[in-house]
Amino acid sequence: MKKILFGLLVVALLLCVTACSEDQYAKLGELMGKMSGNVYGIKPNMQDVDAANEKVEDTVKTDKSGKVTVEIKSEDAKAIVDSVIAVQDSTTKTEALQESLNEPIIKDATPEQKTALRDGLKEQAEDCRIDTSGYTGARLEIAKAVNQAIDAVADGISADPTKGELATVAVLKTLADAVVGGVEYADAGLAAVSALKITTDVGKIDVFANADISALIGKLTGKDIARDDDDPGIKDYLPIMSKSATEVIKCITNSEKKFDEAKYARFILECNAIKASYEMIARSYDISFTERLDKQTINGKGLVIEELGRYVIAAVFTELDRISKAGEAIWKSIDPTAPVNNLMTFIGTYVDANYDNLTDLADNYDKLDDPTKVSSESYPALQSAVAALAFGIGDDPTAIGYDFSRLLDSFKKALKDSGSLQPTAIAAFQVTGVILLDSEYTSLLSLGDMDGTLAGLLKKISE
Amino acid sequence: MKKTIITILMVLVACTFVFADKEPAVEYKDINFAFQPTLSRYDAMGQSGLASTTRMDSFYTNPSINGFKGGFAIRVVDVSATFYNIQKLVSDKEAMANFNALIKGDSQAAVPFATKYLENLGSGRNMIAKFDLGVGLKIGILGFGTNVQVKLHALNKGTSVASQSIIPEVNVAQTVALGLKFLDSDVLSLSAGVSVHGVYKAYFKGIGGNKIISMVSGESDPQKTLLWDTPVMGGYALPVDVGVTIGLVKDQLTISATVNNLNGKYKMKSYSGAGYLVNSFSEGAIKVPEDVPEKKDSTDFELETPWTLNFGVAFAPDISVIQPVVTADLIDMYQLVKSFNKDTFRASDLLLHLNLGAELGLLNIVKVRAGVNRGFMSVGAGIWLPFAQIDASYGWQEFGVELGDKPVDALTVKVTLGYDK
Repeated sequence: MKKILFGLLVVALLLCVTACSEDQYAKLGELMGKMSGNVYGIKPNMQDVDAANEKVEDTVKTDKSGKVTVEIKSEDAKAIVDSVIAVQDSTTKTEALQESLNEPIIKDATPEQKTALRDGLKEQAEDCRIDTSGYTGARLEIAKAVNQAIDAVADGISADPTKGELATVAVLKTLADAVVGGVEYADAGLAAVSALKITTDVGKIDVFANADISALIGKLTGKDIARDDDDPGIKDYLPIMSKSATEVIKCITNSEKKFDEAKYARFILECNAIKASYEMIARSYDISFTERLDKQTINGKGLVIEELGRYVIAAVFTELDRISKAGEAIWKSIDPTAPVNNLMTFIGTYVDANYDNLTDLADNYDKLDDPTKVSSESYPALQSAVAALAFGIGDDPTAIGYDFSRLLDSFKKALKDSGSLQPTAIAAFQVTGVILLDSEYTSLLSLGDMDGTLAGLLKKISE
Repeated sequence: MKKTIITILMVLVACTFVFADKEPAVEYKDINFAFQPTLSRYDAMGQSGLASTTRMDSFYTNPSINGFKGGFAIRVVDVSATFYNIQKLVSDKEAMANFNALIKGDSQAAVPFATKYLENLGSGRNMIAKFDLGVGLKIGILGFGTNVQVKLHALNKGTSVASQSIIPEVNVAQTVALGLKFLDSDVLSLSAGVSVHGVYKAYFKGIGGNKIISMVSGESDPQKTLLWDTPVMGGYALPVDVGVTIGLVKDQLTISATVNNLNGKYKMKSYSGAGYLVNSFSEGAIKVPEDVPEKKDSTDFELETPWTLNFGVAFAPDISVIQPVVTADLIDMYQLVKSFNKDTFRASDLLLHLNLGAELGLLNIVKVRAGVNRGFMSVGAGIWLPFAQIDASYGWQEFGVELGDKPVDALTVKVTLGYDK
């Protein structure tokens, strides 16, 4: 009897939902959606958001003459980080705080005030620098990473600094204080990451959002679990990469769809801060590179797999920019035929030439199978953009995808040959291991012919 | 050079690890594990109606109604299914195309449909589905109920589907309810009741991307993984509901106060897998395969579920053709009182504890219901035949931290064989 009843129930539900056409479903969905509003009209309580804004604003003083000074004491920095983290569980509050953090510290500031703010913030950032004398081991490595981030932040403060930039300096101060004080690195790093996810644009990038996970798993395992009409190949990865590429591009372009140097500087500033925070977390743990990761235990901190995508973006751009700025000779010394030396110039040229195609890639990539779906003028550009995102699958030396491919080849070569990149590689694998372990995603290391170890992953990448 | 890098990595960071010999307790603070079977009428009326609940529903909400209404009621069986996050799916043509294909037997549509569904769940906590099976009997002042409930929770600590984990929960409950009407006159009546639920609860550690990849990639056998390699927490509690109802004007106006889920502290143990949990009741009930991870010792812990203080008012004028009922409940008032002293308290927060509902019954056969739950609307309908009832409800509720963070919709269909008029 129970089985019959349950069967009837399921059949009734199925009849209800299958009796409609897709258009009728859409209309039904619209009707259902109309019920989702709150009839009481109560606005969420935003006092936490106001409190976080106040903590940021309290560090800036304006005297009667209009002179502006900035001072972020250790307790101020901690208060800012804590107040920012306090809103993280609420989407509504987080969005409201992010909006306000994008505003200038002083609205309608005079040119003198803007200069004072920029110089003041730069000074505050530089004051955070850690004296590494006497430091060894993990403490030395993390101090170097934090100092590198501090330098990048000091260099990247914009002409009209935002509250978000001030908050980012405060976050770095908490990291520096943690290193100097020798406190639990993981807790300080986690707090910093939580705050940076709200205060920075890079922190909001989610590589895995809208990812076609089923296609990706099928691709990695060699088992086609996707639909038959999903053509296997580079398209499987495009929904992942194109979304992130669009988000990155929006971080570094202005409203006129043009590359913006100031925004690029802020982007790199944010990448540095995020990279240092993750490395601080990871330095707290010892991860065996040769033992299967799923056989290891760490005291989990609640990291999620999205952190890996965020870290990879932050680390790649931080390092590309660093070796680019360290001297144009680096690229040339490794690869004399490298097409570009300056990362910012390359990205600027590339983005300006391909903005529309890159930002529309997620919607347009399926048109690649059929050139008739795209105008003859825009098809080559779309193809190049896809090729570029696909890490240089194009063979045409005149296509920008080819340049990008060579840029990456140069980077890979630098990874192998440049001594300065090897500590970075170690740190990157340490972070990768901790995130995979903490997020319980160690099975990624067993896909294909990998053996479940980080050494196996390195081998796979080297191949 | 490749070897050099690998060697450096090995030397720098290789280390040994100590394995824990106990299965750690897994707790989900974001999920409310308090037991309550699905009450379709209550849901349709904006989760209100404490003072006008049906006899059988009263066991789980307001046991004083058990005495207030008296009489006989029986549930030979009731079955209900609730599905959450329907609206986003129905609005998505691609998802519905996959759904239709799936119904027609195209198994390849399952993965994209499931992926789309998981994407819609978003960050934080959510629900996927809830299934209930119950029987019950009420004779005079005494009531008995047996319920089995399976819930599929979703919890995402990240932002994408990759961090989504599914947490199945199973409840088996035996309820005994007692209700007495102390005073019964045309002007005033007074009833009180108590119900005790013996609940055994088990929930899995979240099944997330790691396990799914292992299973999909063929590295692990799904059955073995779920039975022997996915930790399960299991334990029991004896939660108690207490209620008082005052009836005025020939019981057309009723006022109730209830305290629900008192003593809702579960004594829990962790198990390395569901198979080990079953075997803890009856050794050897399920044969342990040889190639599964070794069983770890259980960890004892307590799972606290919150108690609530609620008030309800119902007005049900005696109009036999349409049988109107209007209800208003003030829910979780203890939390409201506690928030009075906080700086963040606002007068408008009072509304967040107010649920409203209404029901019209045509000739006591067709019921139409609507309600407002913390400001979110719900609707429902029922067909009440003498020995069978079919109820459906659809409504929204807030799953986020703040109002508007994460409204989630739910569709419930419930079929009951029995008598409860």
